[in-house]
Amino acid sequence: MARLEDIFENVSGKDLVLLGNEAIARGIVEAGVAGVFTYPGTPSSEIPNTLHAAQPILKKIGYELYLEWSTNEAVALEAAYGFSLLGHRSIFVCKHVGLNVAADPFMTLVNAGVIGGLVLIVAEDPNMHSSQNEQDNRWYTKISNAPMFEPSDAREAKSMIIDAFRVSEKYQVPVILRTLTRISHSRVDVPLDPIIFPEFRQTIAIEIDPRRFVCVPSTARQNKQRMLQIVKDISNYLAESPWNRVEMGTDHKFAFIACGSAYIYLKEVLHKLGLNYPILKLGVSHPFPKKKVSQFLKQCSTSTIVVVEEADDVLETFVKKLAFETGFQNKIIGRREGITPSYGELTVRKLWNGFLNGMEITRPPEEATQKSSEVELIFSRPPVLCPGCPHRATFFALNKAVPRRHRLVSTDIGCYTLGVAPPLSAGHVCICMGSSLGIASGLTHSPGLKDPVVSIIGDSTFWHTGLPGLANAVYNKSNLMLLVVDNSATAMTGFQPNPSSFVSHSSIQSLAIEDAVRGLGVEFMATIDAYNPKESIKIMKEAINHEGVSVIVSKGECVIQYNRREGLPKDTYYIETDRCVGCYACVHMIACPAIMWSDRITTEEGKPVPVIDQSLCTRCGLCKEVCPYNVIVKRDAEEVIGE
Amino acid sequence: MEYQIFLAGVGGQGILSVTDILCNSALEMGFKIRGSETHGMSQRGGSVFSNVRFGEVYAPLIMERDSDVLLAFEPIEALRYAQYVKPEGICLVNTHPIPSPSFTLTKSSYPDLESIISALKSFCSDIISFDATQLATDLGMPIIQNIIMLGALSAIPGLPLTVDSLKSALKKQFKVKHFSLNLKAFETGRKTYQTITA
Ligand SMILES: Cc1ncc(C[n+]2csc(CCOP(=O)(O)OP(=O)(O)O)c2C)c(N)n1
Repeated sequence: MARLEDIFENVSGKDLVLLGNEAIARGIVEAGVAGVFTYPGTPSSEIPNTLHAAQPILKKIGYELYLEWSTNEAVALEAAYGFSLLGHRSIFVCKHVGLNVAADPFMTLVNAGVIGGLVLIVAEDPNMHSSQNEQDNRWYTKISNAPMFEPSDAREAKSMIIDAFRVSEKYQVPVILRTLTRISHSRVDVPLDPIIFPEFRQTIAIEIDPRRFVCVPSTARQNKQRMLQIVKDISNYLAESPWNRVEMGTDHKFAFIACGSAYIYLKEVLHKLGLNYPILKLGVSHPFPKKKVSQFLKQCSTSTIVVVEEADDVLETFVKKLAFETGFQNKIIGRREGITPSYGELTVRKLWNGFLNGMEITRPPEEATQKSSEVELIFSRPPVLCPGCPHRATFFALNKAVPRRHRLVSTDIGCYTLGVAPPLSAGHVCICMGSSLGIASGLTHSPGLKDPVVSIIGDSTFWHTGLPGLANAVYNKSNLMLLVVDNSATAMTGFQPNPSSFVSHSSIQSLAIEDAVRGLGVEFMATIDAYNPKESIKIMKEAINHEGVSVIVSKGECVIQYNRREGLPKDTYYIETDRCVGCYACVHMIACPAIMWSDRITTEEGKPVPVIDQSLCTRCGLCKEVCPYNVIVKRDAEEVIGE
Repeated sequence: MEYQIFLAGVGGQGILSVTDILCNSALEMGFKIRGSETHGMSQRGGSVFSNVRFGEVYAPLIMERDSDVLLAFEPIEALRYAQYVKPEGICLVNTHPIPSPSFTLTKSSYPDLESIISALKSFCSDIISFDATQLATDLGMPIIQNIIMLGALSAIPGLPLTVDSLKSALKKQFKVKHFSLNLKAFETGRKTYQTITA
């Protein structure tokens, strides 16, 4: 990734190769944004991460940026809205499901409108590389009426930001910018444009008119009408926008309409095939550019129209509706004809194959199918809990205290979701962030429940949407044990600060999960040290027998975060292989990636012996606690590695 | 013209660092650049890839059977992504194996290297393989195997990136005190390729 000094250099015209999200971060300061409000989530996280890391550099050139790690997306959007009400440009960043969390404020604030520009950068994840669902957020534009910019690549994403603000401010509406994994996590060469410094208009009193912003029914009715008029006005304004443009072609058998990310795949396939057809490229497909599309349909009245889009068939639906209204006679093909897939991400091959369905063209080079003998060689490398992860230690204790076969575990989203895999098997259900507590509560009140119910939640998720679920469980007298796996980090998404995460400077006061739990009137609350399983097991046994809500806060800092700051501990752990009896408790109970089979040593009976790979071990010592024969010992690391 | 390099390996092997260097070298040479890489859930230890495409390119991903080079930092990762290399392309493999934690639970062991290489041959015939991690260890720093692999890549005939532009990108990538060792690693990789193909 590029150096921050380069990304935020106060120059223009220079070319850099940037990660998509770095380009978007640069675009944010090229638009003079004064406030950024976010909750992290892949594939959006590097946008705020980059800006956060660059704050000192920006400050040096006189750019004051307020960046807030909000506790969840709803709060983040509300805070961004408040910021905009005093006339400042603000940005909200989240992953696609974040907009669901923020949907309630979103649906109404669109109608009330903004004062300072407000742009929502929402990152989708087709194919669910790091997500729990696949969702096409273009539908949000249809139910909210908010305009949406849909860049085809990271270069466009960067330059669309300032235009999105122009629209937002001219029409006083929030605007969405849609990015996705293959834009956010792409690399592109991008030219830098000038940085615009935010203007703080402190002296101008801005009127926040309650007749518009207090959304009681009478106001809300006016606001809805206002919004419908604005959609029309924006349509007219964008009719001449360069983001929606026609590229003429030399052949006319087909004519393409493509939006957002699909455009580049279309260009690539046509280029590979040496074909040249007209293309209507849409960068803003909501408000639906009726004029542009009907002109194009008229121009191409003898062509078969091919709609190319990634994710759902949103564009196609509206093109077909318009074609019906305008009496277009020719064929329009798209999803039903298999041009683009209805799930997963679009790729060059998928689109090329799609074209085989409707067009006579050469086939792509045959895909090499792997023979079964080759497939057998390839083992999987799924993401796993890291060596030394405190979650592993907590789940080991849980398995000892509350046997796996006699419990129901409602877990949540974070690194600890990986604990669902055997042998830890800590989880039966996980839907979305914060769902662990609501689901657990429901389970406890279901007639016929025999087993104890355990809920698991991470620290960041606790603050995100765990609190209302906990209040609900206490209030409704659910009989459950909540394990807060507090690793002092938002680890899964890359260590963004959260209210109780580790802070190195004393100027920031972190909040204690225990205080919140106590404040909610939980009667049984205990704090445990994740790396002390003996003690943990004892307390968990008590907690699970407690009638009502019990909460255990299991503390153990994320080992990556800890070791980055403090370095590896001096002492490591070592299996005295000559004493190992081959019971395999260490392997079968904790599955630490640093423990593997020796290819040289066996027990007296010839059984294979586990060894610790010192290059992977982070020296947490959990394996020593697990070994029933005490053959895993603590030793000076230098000595062990020396051997 | 278009040229494509598919990089494959295991999280933590420095794939993104090599991606940076390739991109900066291509930028210096005035190419249009598009690429895509893994971030997010595949943490340390997961299988990761990165695509670098330059020239007349639009999409961020390399199509199957289309890459000029498969630069693999680990043998099984080479096989996992082998379908991306062109039949007439080149496959550069670091033969140093990295086992997976899943072995421990299933008690299986790392597949035999010969079988991996022979399986690779059904995807592309030009396979250059050597233990870059060993060479890096000999230089005193096992993790710079990635730069040894980059050095080997630099020797591929027809690579549109010049050695000068690669070296200047290399210089940009590392702090002054690490540069000379990385340069050595680069030269070692380059020589190794030349020796193997001589
Ligand atoms: C609504 C929503 N926002 C963001 C995310 C992305 N996300 C997945 S896990 C996670 C953080 C979890 O942190 P924490 O609960 O502290 O667990 P850890 O990963 O540290 O174990 C985030 C932000 C999401 N899945 N859903």
